Amino acid sequence: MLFINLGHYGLWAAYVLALFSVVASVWGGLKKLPNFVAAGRNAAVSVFFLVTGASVCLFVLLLNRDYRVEYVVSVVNNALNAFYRFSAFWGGQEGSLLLWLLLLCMYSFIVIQQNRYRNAKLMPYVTATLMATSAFFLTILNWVTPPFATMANPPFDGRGLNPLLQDWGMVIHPPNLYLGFVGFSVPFAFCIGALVTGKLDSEWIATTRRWTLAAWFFNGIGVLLGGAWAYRELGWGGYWAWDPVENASLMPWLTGTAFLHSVMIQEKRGMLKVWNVSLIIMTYSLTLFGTFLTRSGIVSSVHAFANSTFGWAFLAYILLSLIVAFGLVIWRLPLLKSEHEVESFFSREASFLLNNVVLVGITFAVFWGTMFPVITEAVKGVKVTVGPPFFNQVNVPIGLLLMLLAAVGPLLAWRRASGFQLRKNFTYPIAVSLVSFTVLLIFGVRHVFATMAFALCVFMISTICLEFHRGISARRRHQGDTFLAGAWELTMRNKRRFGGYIVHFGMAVIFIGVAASSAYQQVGEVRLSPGESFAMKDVRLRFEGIRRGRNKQFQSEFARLAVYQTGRRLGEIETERRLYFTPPQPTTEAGIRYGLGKDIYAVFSDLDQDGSASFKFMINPLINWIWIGGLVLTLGTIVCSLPERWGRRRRRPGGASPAGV
Amino acid sequence: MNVMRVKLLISGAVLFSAFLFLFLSSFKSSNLSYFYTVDEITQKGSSLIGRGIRVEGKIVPASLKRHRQVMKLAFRIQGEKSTLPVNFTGVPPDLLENGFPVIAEGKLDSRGVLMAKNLMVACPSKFEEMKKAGRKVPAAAEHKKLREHAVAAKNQVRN
Repeated sequence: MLFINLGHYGLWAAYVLALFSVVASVWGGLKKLPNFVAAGRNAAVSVFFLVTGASVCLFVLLLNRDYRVEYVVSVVNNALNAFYRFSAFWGGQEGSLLLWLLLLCMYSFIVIQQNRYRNAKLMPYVTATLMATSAFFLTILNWVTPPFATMANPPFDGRGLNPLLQDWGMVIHPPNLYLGFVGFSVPFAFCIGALVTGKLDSEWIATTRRWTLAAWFFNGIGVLLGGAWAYRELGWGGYWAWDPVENASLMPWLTGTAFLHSVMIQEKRGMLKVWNVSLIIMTYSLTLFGTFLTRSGIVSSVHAFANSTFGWAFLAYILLSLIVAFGLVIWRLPLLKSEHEVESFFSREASFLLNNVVLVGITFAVFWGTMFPVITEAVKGVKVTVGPPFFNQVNVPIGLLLMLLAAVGPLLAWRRASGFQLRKNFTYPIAVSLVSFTVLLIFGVRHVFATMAFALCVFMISTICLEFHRGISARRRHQGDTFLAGAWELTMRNKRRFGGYIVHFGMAVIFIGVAASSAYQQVGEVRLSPGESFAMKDVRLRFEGIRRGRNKQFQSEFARLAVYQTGRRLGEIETERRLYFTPPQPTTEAGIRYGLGKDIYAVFSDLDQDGSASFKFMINPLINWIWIGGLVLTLGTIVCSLPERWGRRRRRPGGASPAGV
Repeated sequence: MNVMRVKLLISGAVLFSAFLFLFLSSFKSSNLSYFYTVDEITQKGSSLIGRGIRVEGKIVPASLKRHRQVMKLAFRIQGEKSTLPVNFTGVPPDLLENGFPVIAEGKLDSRGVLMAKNLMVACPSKFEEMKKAGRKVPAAAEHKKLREHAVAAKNQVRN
């Protein structure tokens, strides 16, 4: 009973303290009362400890399979191992919301510690905003979906975690996504602080730069991990279906990307201030909206593992925060004047502006496609879904434009690029991409969008390579560096610029993977008896037979397939059908032979009494480039967020230093 | 400076109209799929041809036919007054035979057969959530049935 009560009352205490923190911080900030500000801050710190304590309690209850707690019953059962009992924390609605809250409180705690002696004017409102968000989640957790609710007659076994969630992808995907979602609360809170105090220079942006970057990164990686999970676990051979829940995770990332770029313009040129505050407000609302979409089940979705009634509370809070935030923006409009104007189309400002418009356009299309069914059902009572073709038709051309901008933008000078600079930066890349375009055409790549995408990616990559090449050769000439030392120093001396290039490089790799795997996927469906085989182009799959296995949780049938390419045996893959006992549900584990060039993907769907089985086979070209691109992107983000001075060679007194320090 | 502003406005307008064109041309009825009940489809018949259709319902007992070599399924979905023939090519979803309601998505052909592109089984874990949300649930019955099926399947695997 101890942990149940601790958790339960801990959340109530946190609720009271969070509300107190909001009131005390705002009052202390407005009336300039340091005691109140300090009280608000301390209350926020206590909220962090209370929520952490409550979360630990829930972990303990899950690990101990304490079936007196309803939530434990709903996500855990006797057969579930400790690893998945741990991850069952976010396997259901209550736990997911608690995870959101936990991360938010963690971030709030770190922000408060970081800014003890800094940003004194902004901090009361930052604390208040973060605690207001916490108070909202605590409202839901205490009133609507209490995670520590107990059962009158505890059962002897739980209902168990949804088998689809028993996969490492689903263990790390939600925390990742939430780390991103929640992270955007920090720049939002600083933005509110800046609006209230009127300190609307770029200080709040500089302070939160790494927060924004981290949030953006985790959100993006969360999206990728979700795709990887769908690819391996859902067994339809794709990773993205424009499902509402996927869209929900993508939208804040899109506006976050726009924000990440447009704040640079404000930092350098003092422009786009209204736009920046609007973008971060939108991003914050979209993270809440994403959580709402995922958790409310308002849009019917294969991912909607939850279906609940608390949607209205969410919508009300989103609306309230939008009204308050945009109210503040309107009030502060006179202070949000631009210090400069765009001077030329061939300037970084213009290209970033265009990139922003494009990203917001994509967000709008995604939002529209996601919400149209809800709106028509509410207004006209007609149930409709919007299929992937809509999203693809709108977003593929816009996405190509985005790739062009990502290649060109970073190389344009601020204010105005000269003709000389344009020729210098783009002659070779354009030549290289034209050559690759022609080569692709000659080798029979005829898919219009895919070919364009490849050419643009080549363009993007060659501009980046050219930049590195120039920088490195300059260092080799003047500092006498070796190639590697030159590359290292160059990157470490311009972390934001070259880290950004690495991120763009990663995006190019991802785009190549997306374009190739969606344009050139091959699918074959067939029923085979043992010994029979099926060929797709030069790949042949031979059905070898069935193997069976079982453990505490499920029993499975494995279909063994031998893979041949142009007559040569590559190896074997096994695809598995599992039947879980509780809840009784079959799942499919795809058999995949991963490869840099292509994945060979097999799903085994049913077995007949005569021993024949039906299969779905797929060849997914270059699909692994998506995940590799994700790794490159991670590397780039790390470079961008390293401390300014980290990794630089210290200069010896008296001239250039030799390598090897 | 004013010239630049005009230029920006014009290019913004061009961009916006290009986006609008792209958006509107993609947002057409063949990219949408409308939910209908089986009876509505039978009533409206040929007027629905070419439109994306989504229909949910149980498979009429014993109507399920599998064409063995070419992975084709044919079955009828039960409505209140009528039934709807559905054809599907491809790997059938898990649980298809367990008597769960299915969701079929596709287009009607000229004979009034729904040529399904997507076939899904309404997910069993939904029942849990429905119960939590206080809705009317077939859960108890469905779960019992599911368990029986699991046992049956287990035995089948063993044999």
